[in-house]
Amino acid sequence: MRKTDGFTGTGALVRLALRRDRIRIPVWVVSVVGLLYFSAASQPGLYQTQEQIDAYGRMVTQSSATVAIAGPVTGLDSLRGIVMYETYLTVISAVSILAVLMMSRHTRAEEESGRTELLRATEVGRHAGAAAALIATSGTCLLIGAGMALVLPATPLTLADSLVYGAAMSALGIFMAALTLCFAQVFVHSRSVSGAGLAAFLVFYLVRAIGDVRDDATVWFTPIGWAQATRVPTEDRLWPVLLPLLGSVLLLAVAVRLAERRDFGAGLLPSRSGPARASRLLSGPVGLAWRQQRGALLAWSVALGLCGALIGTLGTSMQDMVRDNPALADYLASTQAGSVIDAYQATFALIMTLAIAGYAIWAAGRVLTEEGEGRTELVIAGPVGRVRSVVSDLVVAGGGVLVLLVVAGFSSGASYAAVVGDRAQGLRILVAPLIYFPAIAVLLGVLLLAYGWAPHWTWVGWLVLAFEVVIGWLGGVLGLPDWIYQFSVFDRAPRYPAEDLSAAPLLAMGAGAALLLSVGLVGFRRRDLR
Amino acid sequence: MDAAISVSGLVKRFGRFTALDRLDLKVEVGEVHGFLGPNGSGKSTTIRVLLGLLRADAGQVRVLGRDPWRDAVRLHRHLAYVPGEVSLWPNLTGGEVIDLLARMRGGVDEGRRADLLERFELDPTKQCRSYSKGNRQKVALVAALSADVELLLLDEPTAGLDPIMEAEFQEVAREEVARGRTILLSSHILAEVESLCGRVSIIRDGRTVSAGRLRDLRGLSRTSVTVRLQRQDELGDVPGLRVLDVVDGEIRAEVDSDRIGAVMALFAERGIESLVVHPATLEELFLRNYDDPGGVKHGVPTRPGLPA
Ligand SMILES: Nc1ncnc2c1ncn2[C@@H]1O[C@H](COP(=O)(O)OP(=O)(O)O)[C@@H](O)[C@H]1O
Ligand SMILES: [Mg+2]
Repeated sequence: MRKTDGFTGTGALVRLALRRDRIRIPVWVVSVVGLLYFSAASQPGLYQTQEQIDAYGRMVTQSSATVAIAGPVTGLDSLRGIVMYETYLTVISAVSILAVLMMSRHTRAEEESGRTELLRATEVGRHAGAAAALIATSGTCLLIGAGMALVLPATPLTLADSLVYGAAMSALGIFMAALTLCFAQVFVHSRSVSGAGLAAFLVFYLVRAIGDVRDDATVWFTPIGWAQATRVPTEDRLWPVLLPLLGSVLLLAVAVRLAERRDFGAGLLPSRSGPARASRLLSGPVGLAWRQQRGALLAWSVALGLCGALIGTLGTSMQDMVRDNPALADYLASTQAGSVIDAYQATFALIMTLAIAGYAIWAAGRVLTEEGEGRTELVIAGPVGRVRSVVSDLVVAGGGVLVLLVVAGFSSGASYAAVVGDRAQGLRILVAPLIYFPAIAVLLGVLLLAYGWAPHWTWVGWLVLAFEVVIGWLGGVLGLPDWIYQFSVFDRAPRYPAEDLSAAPLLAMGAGAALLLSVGLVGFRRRDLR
Repeated sequence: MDAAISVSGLVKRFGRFTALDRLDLKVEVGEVHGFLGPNGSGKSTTIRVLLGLLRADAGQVRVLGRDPWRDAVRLHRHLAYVPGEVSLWPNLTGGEVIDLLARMRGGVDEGRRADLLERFELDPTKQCRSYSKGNRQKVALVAALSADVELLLLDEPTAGLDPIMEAEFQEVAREEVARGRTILLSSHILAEVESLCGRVSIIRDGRTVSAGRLRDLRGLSRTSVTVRLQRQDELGDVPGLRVLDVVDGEIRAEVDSDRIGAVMALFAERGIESLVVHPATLEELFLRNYDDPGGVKHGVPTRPGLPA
């Protein structure tokens, strides 16, 4: 066998991948580049005088919290610096998530479905599928980089800034894709592959946050640190872009080694045998749903617990900063309702909650994949009604959401109370994420409404979530018009502890969610099973 | 007693495509009813309507005296189902799936479960993702057959089984019927249905083209024979034997199944050199009886004189 035999047929498979993703790729590229452009282009309107720019710089420099979230401070004495600081987080997340999801979709998901088997029986080499997936994904990342280099010079950024920024983001995406390829050799399920990829991203992000706050060499242990080592806009260094590329080559070598060691369809670990009998818990649709979701719930709990703990402890630096800098305190007080700490905690509660909403849609979305795979049929052909089957999944998903909300609140509240010694504030932080439960229920309601009446439209659930993320996470940055906020469910929840609690909007949301869920269930009872 | 399944004039459309076009089906209590039709003729669609998974566009559908769409849950307590494409939860073991499905149906019959696992040679400790198609089918079969139900709806249940397991399945199915259960067995292979089913319904393009007792269906009960004899003289006009052609001394013929013994004796007298016998396939049946496929589409009458 010649060395290149393993790659025979790569070209055809690349074309197949592009054909399958002919809608997805343009949507990703346009939305990432577009969002970036609008957010960058809106900055001059927000900071019109040098004084305002300097105030922004002072605020960021002195707060380890913001540094932890958005990265190291470079060139914040100019609008270019502000643009970078405000957009880095978004682009880094978008490109990494894109790379992970697209790779997992084109590698393990295909293998798992059996379609790869069909192709591999033709004149297609062992590594052709992986190579094609990597080429398609890297190509998409490069398109995003190229798009950035093209449009960003129309914002405060210079051409050199844009080129280096784009190159760094493309390289990061390629690195994440190569890493995901390794995971695809190890794990048998595409869900585990994408889960591992996203978890790796969170770890990279946390390591970077710690490194940036400590301002030491820790940042060199994460690809996100490499991307930010380009120091746009002050230095525009291009050489750090080589690091992720070199890393990708190494990862590729690892992936090839792993792939040659495993059987088709298998992972690296041999599949274990399991119990011959079902446990008492696994006796009905609820037990079944729990069994399918418990692994992910555990992983999410750990991740959120760590994030929450980090956020809670960073609260102190915020407090120190306000104590030492009365001018800043005034500035913050004028922009936010309530105390600085409250505003900080309320913002983080919202961010964590939006992530949990993502879990909610993922977990409830299980109903859909189950139906597509023909497993719902097995359950419903027993004496289990349609409503009971779906409600069981929803109850388990909703219960998982509650657990995560409590974990998020508890970890940030308890760590804050421990570090600062302020129990009362700790308690308020603990409650904050729980207030968003009705809002998440509304999202689930939208998902179920689509599921019941138009099962091909369930992506609407993700669309609504994306809208909420843009509004809640980036709304202030983007400077969106006020009327848009009317359509946001999350925006209607009181931003506790920054705002006072009020029951009315929460009850209204709860009623809305109940209505959506019931109408969705009625639809599901009336339609054909796919 | 009422029929276990009675369907008349069933219509099911998917958008503009009519999958079932005034289909009739009647299954009596206590019989194994063969549900025959070529691929894509609407067998699975019919069964999914019988389960209330799909909603009928027109026609009468009663299963165990109930309307499957309205009364699905109560109906399902009394029936078990094996889908044509069995998809299982990859991270559960086969044993867990069997228990899960049985418990949702009200409980596990321990003796029956153990017996079936042994007879189908199924390892219940393996995770479903590592099962082959045949083994996934066995999981669904064990779950369905160990349930305490009146009616079994089996959609091509032997498609992935090897011949030994297929024989085992037929054995188990006979036991089930002996215990008073009713089985609807869909298949596109005539031979499989022949050994198990007393009565069959044959559908094509979503319509019932033929229904009745198997041996009464004239075309069905013929057997194809290819034989080479030492002495070919005076074979002449044998009742029940229809010679199709003779090539190089090899005779291809069709024999009415009730005359097969007599015909074989005749062959034996003349010294058999080689003999191949196979039952008529569904395809042959269609070719023989409904040469014009267009004619089938526009309504071949259910064969006259057959008990419906
Ligand atoms: N959900 C569906 N949407 C559209 N067409 C369908 C659907 N399900 C089945 N069909 C069509 O209905 C016809 C009958 O299918 P099916 O009942 O699966 O046939 P069989 O089980 O006899 O092989 C086929 O032509 C098939 O393509
Ligand atoms: Mg079928």
